[in-house]
Amino acid sequence: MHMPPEMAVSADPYGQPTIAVDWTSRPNYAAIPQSRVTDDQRRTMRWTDVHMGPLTWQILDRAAFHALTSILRDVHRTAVVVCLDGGKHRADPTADDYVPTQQPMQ
Amino acid sequence: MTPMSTWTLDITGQSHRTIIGTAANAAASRAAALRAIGTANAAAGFQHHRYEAAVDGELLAIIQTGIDEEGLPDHRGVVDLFDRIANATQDDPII
Repeated sequence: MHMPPEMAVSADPYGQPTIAVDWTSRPNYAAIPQSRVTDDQRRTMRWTDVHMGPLTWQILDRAAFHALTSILRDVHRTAVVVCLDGGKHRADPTADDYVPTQQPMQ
Repeated sequence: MTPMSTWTLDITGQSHRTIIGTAANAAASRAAALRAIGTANAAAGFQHHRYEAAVDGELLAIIQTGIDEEGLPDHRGVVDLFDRIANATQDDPII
């Protein structure tokens, strides 16, 4: 994650800056393949920008993708167990036939 | 024969449809595909569309409509996403 310079890592392991994002509903997202030639013209860098709410994820390779989705999968499983309405959101969001749970109008 | 560029847009929601178009070059195809997403988004109503656009067989973007505070498809958020994509400079990934 790209951190602003003024939030540089502190020597205190318990004093690290944190960013918290609250998502109360399913966000829009856009996945955009990116590429650029390095300054020395020797290779082409490729990565994927995933724009999601206030965040932009930059996924550099498959290892990063699998690591990220594994973390998010664990978060989902935990939320299903912990949240009172977790059972309604049990469906695997990574499945091809996944349909978001329709939230009631407020 | 002048080479043409082809763009496609797959729209998935309650139904699935594909839009195919041509343009003079890849940049024009990219612009046309993004305009098509904007048009489809404006007419999406209560559908949570997923848009998958490609230019000359190369993936351009995957965009998924989210849910707003009222529980309705967040079409306004998709428009904001377009602004971010269109105005963002291409930041190098942190390696």
